[in-house]
Amino acid sequence: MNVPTAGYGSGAGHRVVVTGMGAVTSLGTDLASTWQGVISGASGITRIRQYGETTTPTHIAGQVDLASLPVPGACGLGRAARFGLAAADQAWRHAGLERNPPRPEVSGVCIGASTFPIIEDRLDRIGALLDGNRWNWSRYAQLCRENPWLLTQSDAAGVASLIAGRFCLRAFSLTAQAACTSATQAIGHAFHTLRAGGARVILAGGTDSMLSMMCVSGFELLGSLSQRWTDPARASRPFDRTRDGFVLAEGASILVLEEMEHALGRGAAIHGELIGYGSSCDAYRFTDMQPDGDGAVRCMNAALRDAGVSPSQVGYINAHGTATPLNDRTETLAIRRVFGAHADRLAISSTKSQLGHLLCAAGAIELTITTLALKHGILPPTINLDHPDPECDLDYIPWTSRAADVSIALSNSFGFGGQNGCLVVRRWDAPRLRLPPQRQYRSPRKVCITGVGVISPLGLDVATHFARLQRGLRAVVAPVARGIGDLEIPGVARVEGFDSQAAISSRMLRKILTSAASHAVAAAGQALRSSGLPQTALQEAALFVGSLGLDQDLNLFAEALKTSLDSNNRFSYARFASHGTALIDPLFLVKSLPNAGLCGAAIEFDLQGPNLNIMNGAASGLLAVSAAFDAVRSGSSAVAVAGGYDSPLQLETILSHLIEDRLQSASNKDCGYILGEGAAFFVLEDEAHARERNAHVYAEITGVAQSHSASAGASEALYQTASSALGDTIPEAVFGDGVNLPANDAIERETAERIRPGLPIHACTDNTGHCGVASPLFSLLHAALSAYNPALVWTSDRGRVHAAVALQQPPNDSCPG
Amino acid sequence: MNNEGSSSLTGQAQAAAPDAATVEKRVIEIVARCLDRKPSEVGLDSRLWGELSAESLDMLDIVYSLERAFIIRLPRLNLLQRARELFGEDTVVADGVITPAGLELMRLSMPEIPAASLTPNMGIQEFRYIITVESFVRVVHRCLEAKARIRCACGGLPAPVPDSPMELRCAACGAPLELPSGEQLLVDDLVQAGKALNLHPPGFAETAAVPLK
Repeated sequence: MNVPTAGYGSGAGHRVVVTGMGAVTSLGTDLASTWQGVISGASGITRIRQYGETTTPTHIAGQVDLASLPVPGACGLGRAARFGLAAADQAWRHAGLERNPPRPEVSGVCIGASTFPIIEDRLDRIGALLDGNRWNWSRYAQLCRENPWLLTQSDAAGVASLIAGRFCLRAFSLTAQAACTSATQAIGHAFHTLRAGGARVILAGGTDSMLSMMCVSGFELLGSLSQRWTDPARASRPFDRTRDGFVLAEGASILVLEEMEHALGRGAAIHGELIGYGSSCDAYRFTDMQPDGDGAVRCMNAALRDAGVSPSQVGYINAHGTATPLNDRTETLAIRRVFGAHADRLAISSTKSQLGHLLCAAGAIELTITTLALKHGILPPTINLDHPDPECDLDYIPWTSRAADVSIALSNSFGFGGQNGCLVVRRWDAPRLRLPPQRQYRSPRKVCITGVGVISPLGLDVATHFARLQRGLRAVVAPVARGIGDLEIPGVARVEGFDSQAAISSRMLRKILTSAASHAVAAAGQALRSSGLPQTALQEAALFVGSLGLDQDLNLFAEALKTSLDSNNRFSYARFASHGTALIDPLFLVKSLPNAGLCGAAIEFDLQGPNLNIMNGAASGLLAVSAAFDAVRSGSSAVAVAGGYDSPLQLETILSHLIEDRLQSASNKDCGYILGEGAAFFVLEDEAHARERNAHVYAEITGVAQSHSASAGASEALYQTASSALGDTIPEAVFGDGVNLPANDAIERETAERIRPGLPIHACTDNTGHCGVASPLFSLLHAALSAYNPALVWTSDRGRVHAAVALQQPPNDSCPG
Repeated sequence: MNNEGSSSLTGQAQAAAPDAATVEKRVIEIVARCLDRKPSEVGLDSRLWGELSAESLDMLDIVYSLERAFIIRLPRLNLLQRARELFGEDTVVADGVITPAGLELMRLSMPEIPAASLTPNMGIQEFRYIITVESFVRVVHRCLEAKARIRCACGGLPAPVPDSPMELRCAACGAPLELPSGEQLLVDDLVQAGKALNLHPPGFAETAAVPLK
């Protein structure tokens, strides 16, 4: 149930193969039909019709035919969840795992997915839900009480957790969120985890469906979408001179990634080998790529280095190729910079020309297609490529697929926010090139914390926060904001007095970051400064962030929705199109990006290194610290920045806590918690590296672990996770959740007693409020600054996702406080 | 709330466009706010890209803010892109460089731009760097003038609609009235300027959305 610490040094250099694939796309609801459609040059793009014939006619997309998608037990699930489950089911059977399932404790799931409330599902009550230009919170709460499934649309960890539950995958359940790079990040992280021995089988991929009215409007307002809606099949035109933006799509692809010996041992058919992954941050702008393609160059180079192959060994690239004027030009330039003269011998295609842009699932379907292309020796075409662009002058396989004997291929993804990812796949029966050299695995490094930063309801820096925590102070429970006051809760704990003008130097970041993401950037800045590391070290540092699920202020839409009501107080698509969209802030989609904290920190501090944004519920921050620990321990990064942020103080988030009866109510303050917000960041560093520069060490991290369970198994899962992180040590104290709910508190107490009778549990939830992702990080900060030696930090998010981090005080302790 | 019928209409019927000085001042304020600057740092001749460090997201922000402030619909594409679609690729741009005819077209269409800014062999990527605050003022004026000419079929003047800030209805009979499309005004002006240069759109109605195979 627990993952052995995934240090590369411990289980060095396992090879990772693809043993199963599933796909749900606009070209077909299975792998075979999708592949046939892609290589025959078919287009899956049509007018959007799923929300009714009255949907704005200018909206086109690649849509999945839900009617032909059998998903047993899918009642009440949203589209993305159905696609994800169906693709996982296909992949599972394709890999022959239904006859021969892997052991749950060595199996996990890692996917890219998004969250967004589908306004369409609330439209039939919209007249009653709006008071003037604001939501009526009590009526909204009533709607959600009657239809609790509405809130699953904002459940960041939901789809991964469903997949983990269905296939009994207990090692971990992780959701990556890096906009259009999400699935590539998820697959890359799964690959590195398997290679390091952290699991034997991982269902990895992505699923997405952002075709509801507000999502499409959001991309449209940004000017990202093709305007060729009168001819949908010809609209997606990657690398063509007349390209004018991308076409949205929905769907899913899941791959079974398996440690090679495990696959061979059970006689599995192998479809390809994953041999490299690289990621980078542009650290430039939110929606524009670096014009010289620098970020893309760094991620392709990192992937090739990771795979141990030279550029000349690569035969095919499945390009990101979105068909925006900027992306295709920049990607072409980046490929030229990486491959030099060999670029002219490369075959490249963008299968977004057939499928559209699957957003958080794009990297998954594109890796699946790439794997099949190598296996079958057929390279898929770029359709709609009629007019050569002088700035896109490579071989993009126009219109017709091509037979080719290719051994090694890349799959690129570049996301909004500037997170880039690149995967390297090798044909399984390819003649042995010079074998990708085994990585130089060094002995595991000691990992210490050399920088800390925090923004919390208790204070805007570490000293204030910690001093107030030690004095047992509670954050001020603010009189609730307008709207929230209609709910029966005593208030919320807000971050008070935060000055973004002083904390953030980038004007654009101040404009587009939400307060939650601003807190993240500020806390990351504190951690970086307190580490005393020079900018040169920070530029290459790895960056791992746990982010809140949904950072969407629904009030941004209220005015537009109000305007869209007709004379009968009913929503009218015609009115929305003619008068509503003009009232929506065109930057709202950028402002609500779930990876805004990571990308904001990268831009503010010029962090260009490998990165991962985890959007997996309240445990996300500790999971980010775990991933950073693995990166430093393995020697792949000398410095990693890790942390997380959250602001659960938004309509749907508050309701999800309220409806589960987890919040203190005005009448009953003895049970449950109040909600808070904040961010905490840490600099993790190779101890030798820290010692060399005489850095102050706050604590040493000695172990990390995570797991997934059904809520019935939460107690055992938390115990196993804690034990795995602790190894042989017995902690002096645990820093836990303390959510003041009988069932949760009992699990924490029982687990602590099992570890050591009388083991004390500290929690700061009573002081800070329950700050979502940030709370377990406040625990980690508390533990790192405390005198308990050793100490254990854990969190158990709603009995599903469990994470633990074990700490020791440095030998010559000079901790503040 | 009932949006139908003249009885629910409030506010003044609108006729005359605001005067030039008011528009200029307001545009400068909005550009300054969107770029987090003091209005005194922004002049009519300030160039958005480069000089004022605007990015593409700022341009969206500025256009949205101007539309909301003046209740107008501004064009989304820049002039050069629209001209390329209208008059055909090779007429306006060749090998990534604006042609002499293209430059002449831009000069006629953007009288506020100093002639020296439109340099021969200007690349298409450089074009945006010549756009000034005054370019926005001109387009806002153009939209406001068109709005001021709106009359209902019954002769009534346009009036705002409660709870629907971007909607107009006839103050007299309550019939819906369309805000002039900035996009269409831009195209009209380009066609006009093209005529002066003897350039004609080759059936431009189909260029935007038809397969080019």
